[in-house]
Amino acid sequence: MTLARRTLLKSMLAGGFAAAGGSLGWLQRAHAMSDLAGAGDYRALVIVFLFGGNDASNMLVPTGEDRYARYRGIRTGLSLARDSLLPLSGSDEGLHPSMPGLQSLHARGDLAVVRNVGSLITPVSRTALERGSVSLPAQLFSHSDQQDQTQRGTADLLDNHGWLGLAADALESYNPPSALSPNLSFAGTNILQTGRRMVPYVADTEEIRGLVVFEDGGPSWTLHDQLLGRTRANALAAEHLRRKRDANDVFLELSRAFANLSPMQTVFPASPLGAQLEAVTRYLAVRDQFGFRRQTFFVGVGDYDTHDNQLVQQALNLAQLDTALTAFDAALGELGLRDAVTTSTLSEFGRTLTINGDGTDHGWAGHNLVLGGAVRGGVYGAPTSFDLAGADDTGEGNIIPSISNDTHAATLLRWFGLSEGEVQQVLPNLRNFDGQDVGFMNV
Amino acid sequence: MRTLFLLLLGTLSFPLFAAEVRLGLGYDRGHDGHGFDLHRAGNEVVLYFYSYDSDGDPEWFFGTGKVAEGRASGELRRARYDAGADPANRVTTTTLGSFLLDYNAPGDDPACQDGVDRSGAEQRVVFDWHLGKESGRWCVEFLRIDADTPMAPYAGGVWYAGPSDPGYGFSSAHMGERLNAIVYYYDTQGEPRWALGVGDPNAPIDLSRFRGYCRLCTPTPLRAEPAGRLDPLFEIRTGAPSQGAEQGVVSTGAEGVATLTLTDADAAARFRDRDFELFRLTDGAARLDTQQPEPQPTEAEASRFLSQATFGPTTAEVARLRTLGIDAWLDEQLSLPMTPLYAPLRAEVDRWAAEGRLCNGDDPDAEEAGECRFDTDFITDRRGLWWVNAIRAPDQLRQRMTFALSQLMVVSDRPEIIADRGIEIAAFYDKLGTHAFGNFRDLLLEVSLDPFMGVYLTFAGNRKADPVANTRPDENYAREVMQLFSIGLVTLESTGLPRRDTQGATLPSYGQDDIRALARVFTGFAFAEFVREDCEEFEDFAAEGVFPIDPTRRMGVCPAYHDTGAKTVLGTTIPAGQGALADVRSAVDLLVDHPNTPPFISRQLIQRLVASDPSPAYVRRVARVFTDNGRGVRGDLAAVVRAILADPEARRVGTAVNAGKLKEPILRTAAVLRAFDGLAIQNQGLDAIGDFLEGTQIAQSAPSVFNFFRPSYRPPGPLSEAGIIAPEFNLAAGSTLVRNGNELDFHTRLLFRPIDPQDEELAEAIQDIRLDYRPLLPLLDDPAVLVERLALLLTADRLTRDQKRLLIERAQQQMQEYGEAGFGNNAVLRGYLVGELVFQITALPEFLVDY
Repeated sequence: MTLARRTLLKSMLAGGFAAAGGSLGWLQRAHAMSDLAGAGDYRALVIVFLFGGNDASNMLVPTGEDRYARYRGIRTGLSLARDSLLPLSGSDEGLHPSMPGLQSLHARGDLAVVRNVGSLITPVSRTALERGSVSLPAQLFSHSDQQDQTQRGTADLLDNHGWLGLAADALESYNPPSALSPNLSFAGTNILQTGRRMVPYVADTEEIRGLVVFEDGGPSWTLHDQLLGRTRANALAAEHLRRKRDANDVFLELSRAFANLSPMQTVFPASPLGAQLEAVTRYLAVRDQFGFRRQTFFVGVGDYDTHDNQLVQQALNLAQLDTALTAFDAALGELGLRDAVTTSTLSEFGRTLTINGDGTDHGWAGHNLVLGGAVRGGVYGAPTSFDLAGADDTGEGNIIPSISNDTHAATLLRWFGLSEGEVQQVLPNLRNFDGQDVGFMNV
Repeated sequence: MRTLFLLLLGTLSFPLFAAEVRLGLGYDRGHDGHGFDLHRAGNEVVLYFYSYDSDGDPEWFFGTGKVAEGRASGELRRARYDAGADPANRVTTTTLGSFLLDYNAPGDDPACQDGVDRSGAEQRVVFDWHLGKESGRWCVEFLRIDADTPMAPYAGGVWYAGPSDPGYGFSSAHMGERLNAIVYYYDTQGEPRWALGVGDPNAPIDLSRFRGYCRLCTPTPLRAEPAGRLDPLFEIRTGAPSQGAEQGVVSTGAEGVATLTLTDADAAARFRDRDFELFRLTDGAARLDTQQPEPQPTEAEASRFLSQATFGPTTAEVARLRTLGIDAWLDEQLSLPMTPLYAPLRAEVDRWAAEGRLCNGDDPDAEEAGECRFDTDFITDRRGLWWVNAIRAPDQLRQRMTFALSQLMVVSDRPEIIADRGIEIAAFYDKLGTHAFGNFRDLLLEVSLDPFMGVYLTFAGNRKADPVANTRPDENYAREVMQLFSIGLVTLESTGLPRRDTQGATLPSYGQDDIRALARVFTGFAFAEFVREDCEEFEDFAAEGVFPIDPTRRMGVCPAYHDTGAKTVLGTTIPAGQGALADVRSAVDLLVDHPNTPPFISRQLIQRLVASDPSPAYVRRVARVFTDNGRGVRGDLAAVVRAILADPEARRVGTAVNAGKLKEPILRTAAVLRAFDGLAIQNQGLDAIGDFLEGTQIAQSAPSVFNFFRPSYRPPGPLSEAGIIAPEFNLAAGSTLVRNGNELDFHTRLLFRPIDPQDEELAEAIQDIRLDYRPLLPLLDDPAVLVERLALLLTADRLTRDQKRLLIERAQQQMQEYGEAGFGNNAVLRGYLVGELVFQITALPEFLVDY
């Protein structure tokens, strides 16, 4: 069978939004909501998760002579050439050579680099660590656990809620009711956006689709509707049924919202992250049709677990990140949303300063990038000492975080509109830390 | 008894289970301290009569009885126990008399007119009993509680140690927030004794043994002595107690294990100071003399079993399983040779090479035009052949088990840097398959020496610490082999539940020091063919894009790069200087021998085959087989898979609210391909099959070593609120659910839509790839037969009568329309209608969830 035939067969599935059916109530509601929504009061937080643990120490590298020498002394064969770094004005650090777009955004004042953020329960010093006199997050250096902790925002809590989901709970009244969650994920299910009430809608980057049988309507759908019924005794059966019904409701809303969407000028790079952020812009473009005023978006890509071949792989990763974020910034400009949308990277951990040959292993603190018109550009947080005997190192090349995930999250959430009380509720460990706001947001 | 309970509890009662016959704890105020508890088993009641012998020592009798017209009656028997006998002969029972429970007896029955104050007794039942020369007619009342009192976990019922160790156990009933438990055991002489405890079901319950007075004696005060404790461990299930309550069925909403520790000095040594695992008998099995011969499975049972043990039931396999029985079917499957993935794929590559059609890198035009293929470019062929094997291989159990293992020990063709690699992943899959019924120890060793695993988890080319270059060994494999392939992150109970300290915190099963030490074990390994060349360029070996020439071989060792020092991992020291291979063997041994490994691996295999959220008792039963297959062998995977599939929790239809599991997307597609013989698909090239069947989930193409879903995933929403684990829902969220639903629609229905008959090319193409409904077309003459067949194959007959009726009506109406138009025998239209029915069923929870 030729490829053409295969394509033909698969195209039998494509049907657009024809015959979607449904009530007109939705449209009326959408109009009512858009009246309610103050156009000036829209904010969205976009989280770009770098799965695998981004090697922060090669993303932001000291350019000053002494610190660069220390960096090179530890990183040896994995160090980046000093003259290849992209300097950040006003600091003695430079970005990885794959990140010229973000360098420009920094120059424009729209990029903050937040150094040495990580999973903490309370502040940790090297002395306390060596004495064993401080409580540490469980399972440090494990991908799955550190991803969960980063997303929960509270390192010693073991529930399934994340700080973005709890924040969305707190701001629930900002958004009118809809089948579509105002919180969208393009990187699958996640804890980050799961609140006590709010659950993210897992979207993808492809064309909006409904169930064909539902889109087509007719006797097949009538029968299916009857056979499905409303519930089941078995909880798994009941849950699948519930999700299927929800998916149809979401499809009806989305197909209407997207019907008149005009294409964007901005061209996104043809990468997984580019596609995800492009999809985010499409949903941003139809926000008023839902009357949303507070939204969260979760995107993410893998391949950051650079145990080997790091120089090549991380260059590819950061280039993808740079081009996608740069395009996203342009698209936000096009939508007039630069000030309303703030984007932050997160990763489960940084990587060891020490190397294993051609790669690095699971570490602790890492750097986050925060991007947007409301961002106070600059470099934040304590610089890495690049000294295995230093106070910021566990002694094994793992950097002890000086900013907790909680504090990073709190800084974003205050901008997002949470009251101080709400911030403290979402992030109960925040009070354990002195500086409760990194200061990278204009509030 | 009343004094006894009042002492412990205050006021009590018990819920009404059956309309006709009330179950629970009963006693006569005139014979306080004696009593009975009554349970339901199938259509019968089971009665335990606890009492005292002529010396005032506790003794008990039991009987089963029929229920008719408000009366329950049957024989009363006494058990004796010979701990030295083999399990089948340990318990001997003697019929000593009979009992009659008369629920219709009038309130002024003479038994209740004995001068004892029974004010406040709600329902009276006359308990007429005969034991040898003794007899009595007692006026019994049932203990009460507020019927609205929540009972979670619901733990009422009869618990015992399993069919291989029958004769003792305990019965339990909820009393508000407390659990009443009566333990039935034997003394040093083998005489039946009992002890009673009441307490919080979530904590150990202290047991007391009572001295009382004989049945015909004048009441005297009871004396209690400590007799040990019962530590019940129940999985909490919400919403379960009401399930089946109307029918009087004992709820199976709670499952768990209970540990019994008797300190009664008079108890037989077998029951004293030892822990026993107990689990609850289910409806129909609550009798002491259990072991029944295996009945022939019904069609529905066979279909249900095959959806756990294979890639999906077929009509032929259902019939075969019914003929053989489950045991013999398992014997046969366990002995079948593996259908390989690697060899045919290799042959395909070789065929292209022999035809001179492999790209040699010199002819960009040919590459551009797709006239040649690189030998690395067989990823879709690998996926295609995987489907052919899944659908058609005779060694279905091994194929299914291998797929399960491929989700525990994950390599993937997903990472960008190793994309397009098909052939090495196939070789890895065959290693899993080769050891699928072998020993877990061998499996873990092969996985740890596999060259593609070496690439995927980056320890091929890993070298010992180099002080000059300031490098240390790569920790990637060391971490994941512990976290994911063997022991897991936290110390586990034998139930697979985390062990917790007094503060309720879990305990890490290893630390960073263990990882660093284990990382040193996995140094010096390189592809075998590389080692042959004297390891000259070990430095460059680990560079991007280097792959083994023969991925079926183990990695070899470059001794100069292996860390030869002693390594202490998990408290065990791997001695210095024994060489890289011996180091890996030692490491594998200490991981396999770790107490976490049996429950950690057993639980996940249960999840892949049977249930997302198995009860702790189920996990423990399987883990016990993993620990020792009965012949002293640890890690016997054939025994483990048999234990998983033969377990009562797998075999009975799950009535618990969290029973079963959602079929992952691959299993949905596989089920329809097998049920309707995707024969035609095999006529296609492997490449085309792989492409055609590409869906929301691709075997061995997980996003990361953490698989498609994590084993502890609790989906947000109602399942999470109910504490239910359901990993597969990670692939059933939002747009993924929609896409997967459409994939099934495409294969089952849309491909059968009548097309323009002029479009011959399309007609031919469709003919080549779709399911084979031809044998089903004649059945449309009697749609009821067709619907029954589909319901059996696709849902193990879980469809309700109403659902079947709707489907039959749809088929009848459509056939009538076809007939009226003169197309009643048109094969295309009939095919589309069959497709419609298949689609409708596969879109229902009854197909999507196996429970």
